[in-house]
Amino acid sequence: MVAPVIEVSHVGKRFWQGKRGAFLALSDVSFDVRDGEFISIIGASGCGKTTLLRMFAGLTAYDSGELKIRGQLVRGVPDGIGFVFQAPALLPWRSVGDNIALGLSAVRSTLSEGELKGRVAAQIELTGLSGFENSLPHELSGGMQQRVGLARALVAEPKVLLMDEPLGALDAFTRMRLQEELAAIVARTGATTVFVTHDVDEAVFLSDRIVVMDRSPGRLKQIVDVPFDKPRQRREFIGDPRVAELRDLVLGLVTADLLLPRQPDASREASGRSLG
Amino acid sequence: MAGTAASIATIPSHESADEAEPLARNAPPRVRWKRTLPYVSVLIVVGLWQIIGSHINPILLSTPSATVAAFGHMISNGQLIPAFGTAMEDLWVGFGLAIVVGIATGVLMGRSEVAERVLDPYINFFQATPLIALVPLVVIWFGIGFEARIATTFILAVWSIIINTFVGVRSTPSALIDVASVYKLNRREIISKITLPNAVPYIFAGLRIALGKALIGMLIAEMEVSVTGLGGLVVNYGNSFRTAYLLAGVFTASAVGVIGVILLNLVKRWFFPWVNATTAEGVRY
Ligand SMILES: Nc1ncnc2c1ncn2[C@@H]1O[C@H](COP(=O)(O)OP(=O)(O)O)[C@@H](O)[C@H]1O
Ligand SMILES: [Mg+2]
Repeated sequence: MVAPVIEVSHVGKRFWQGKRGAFLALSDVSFDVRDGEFISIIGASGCGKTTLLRMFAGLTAYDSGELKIRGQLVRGVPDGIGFVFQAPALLPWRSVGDNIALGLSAVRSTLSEGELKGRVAAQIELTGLSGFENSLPHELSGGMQQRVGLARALVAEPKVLLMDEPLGALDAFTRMRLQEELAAIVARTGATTVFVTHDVDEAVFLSDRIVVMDRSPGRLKQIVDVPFDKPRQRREFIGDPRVAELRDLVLGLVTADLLLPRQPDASREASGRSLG
Repeated sequence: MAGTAASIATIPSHESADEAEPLARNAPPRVRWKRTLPYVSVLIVVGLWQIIGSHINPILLSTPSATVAAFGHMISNGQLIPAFGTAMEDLWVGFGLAIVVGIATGVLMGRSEVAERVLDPYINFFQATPLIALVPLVVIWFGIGFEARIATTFILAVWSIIINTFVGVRSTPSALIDVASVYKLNRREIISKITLPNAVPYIFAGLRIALGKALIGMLIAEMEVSVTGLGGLVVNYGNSFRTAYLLAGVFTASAVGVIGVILLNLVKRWFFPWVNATTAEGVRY
């Protein structure tokens, strides 16, 4: 059996929020992501999805447990990852092509000028940005900007692709279209993917498994298998009663705590108390 | 951000003149006459000046026609062009040095908290000090020649550039720093590819302010330090009560400032076409 690409074991994270004391953003999270798998992380806002994903990318340190990517303990930014940010986070002063080329910075020294151009051109083609190479980001729609963000993440052919609500700010139609393109592109690259979303339909449509999280403190609630073949045709997929059933299950899990009376906040500790 | 320096900086805004243009062009005729008001206003004031000026002692006010005549005379007798050249040289060498030193210092302060804390008191002190009072000291240090004029122009201009560059560098969105981390840019690349370009709109806002101050520095130096260039012309004609010539010199100095502003805008538009667009529209981070 192949080792998992991402191994999360008993990971926890506290944020020190000044006068308000320590805040337990993640508590004892454990799961694995297998090679080539598409995992979605879903949960109410504030349950620690972004924090967890940033840990995978080495952007936020974890303070308990262990986190491994491709067998290596995560310390700093791991090699061979791509990250798509919630807002595209493009450099406003660089053309689309140059923004995408930024994704090759880490491997820049191993590429000739021609290879670099070729990789960028191929990525532009793949992400449907042809004709926009020389545009500046502000000249593009939100959907197109997010394509650039995706292209920048993919251009170095990462083994692990991390995405934080990449389609969250888009309108419904653009969103559905990009979901389909994303599924196709990811399938083609074979990258192991962790996709954060708060949209149940999106998670079900794209994922092999869905990690449902709970908040206060942020923790793992349940992992749901999505045992349907890929590629998925949206119309048949939505019409399938088993899909509808699964969707309702996930929706129930995600919204359960919203329907209950508010619990006392277990993630908050009085200030001054030891962090233990 | 620890420094009070931040509070003094100017946040870039787009110029209203650039925006009013397309609006007014499409405006209905009823609104369009308002566009002629500035010209009408100037015509009336110049007219009044002509009338009043020709009825009182010419030393007090002179007249527009006499000023234009003086202007023509100073060109034909070979006084004005060299004075204009000296003024331009004083301004652009001093201002140019201020740009280089100001941006370098601002970036250093923006990237290093140690540098910020060490330099912050002096920046605030010099920003608050009426720097004109230092001109005698400049003379003691640099004499009364070209170097002294450059130094005067420089010390008036440099502070706004430092502060705006610093604030621009510090205002780099954290999302862009994350991007730099994920794609493993090194320290040098972070400065050249992320923080410095991010500071460009702030730097240009600082340059606009600094240009005005450099102009004052240049004129003060030419009037008080060397008595040369346009400042020297103005002083000499003032001392001999030839008001029309004095005013022609003043208007030429205004032209130096206007040319400076135009040059800055051209540089901005040619080399940094995204500046106004991004501050106006906002690319999401
Ligand atoms: N840098 C930080 N400092 C303090 N608290 C933080 C920080 N980052 C996140 N948090 C807190 O941790 C919790 C989880 O945040 P986040 O991971 O962004 O949630 P999600 O992405 O699921 O909405 C939130 O309550 C947030 O306020
Ligand atoms: Mg989030």
